[in-house]
Amino acid sequence: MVAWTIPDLVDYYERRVEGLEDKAYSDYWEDEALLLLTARDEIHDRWHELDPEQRSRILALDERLVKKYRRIARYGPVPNPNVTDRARWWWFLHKGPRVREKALAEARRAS
Amino acid sequence: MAEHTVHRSLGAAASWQSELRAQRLAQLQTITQQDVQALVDEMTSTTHLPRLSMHFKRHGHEFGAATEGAYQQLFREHARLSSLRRFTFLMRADNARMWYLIDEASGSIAAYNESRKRYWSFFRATDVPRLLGRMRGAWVEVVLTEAGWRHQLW
Repeated sequence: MVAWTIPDLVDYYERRVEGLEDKAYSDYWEDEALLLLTARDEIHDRWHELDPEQRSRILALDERLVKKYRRIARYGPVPNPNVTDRARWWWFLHKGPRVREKALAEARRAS
Repeated sequence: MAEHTVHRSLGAAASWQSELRAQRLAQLQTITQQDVQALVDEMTSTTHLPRLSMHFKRHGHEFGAATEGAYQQLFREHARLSSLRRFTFLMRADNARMWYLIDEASGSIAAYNESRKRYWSFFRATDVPRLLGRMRGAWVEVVLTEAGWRHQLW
């Protein structure tokens, strides 16, 4: 499978966030949540490839995602025993919106 | 669909996955080889993706499809691929019997809702191995062997 380009990956993540926000698409939120969470993993792994503008877009999308934490908790494949890395906070949104802040704070401490 | 605040504990992590997978496995154990074949035939022969406009708007871009027709054509071609891996599971919201027909080469996935007897959606994953890894313990894979259709825990 060929790796996605970064611009396509960022667009893809944006569309998944939009899908999760779209009540008309609620029948498909379980699909969208799974696709979204795994795409966010890939963005995390390839963060060094993103330029500043792309990083800003992702951070803005992350904020929109955090606002939908209840939706992830209800429809996402969480909690997920296959994910233990708390830096991937999107897999822990069932614990509430502050998981992102905590992960970012931990990353700042570690750097 | 009603939306609720759900704070599931990590202790519940294994339970929702194993519980739903056990339910799905029990369902599969009650159906015959002929039933499975009929279902696969239905999934293979279908030419229509319901709610095409809605899915095209949301997913057409990731296939590079410029029109709804092009998107539907890609869906039809996908449904007929002999190399598809077939995973089945229960949706958490309503326990619908779902199938994901996955083409590992392209990352394309056709979702079929067995409970509603129709295709559900057509989309691409950015990373199929990762997606499958995340769903370890939750799904059942249905595989055609020389002895017929077999289901195995994923």
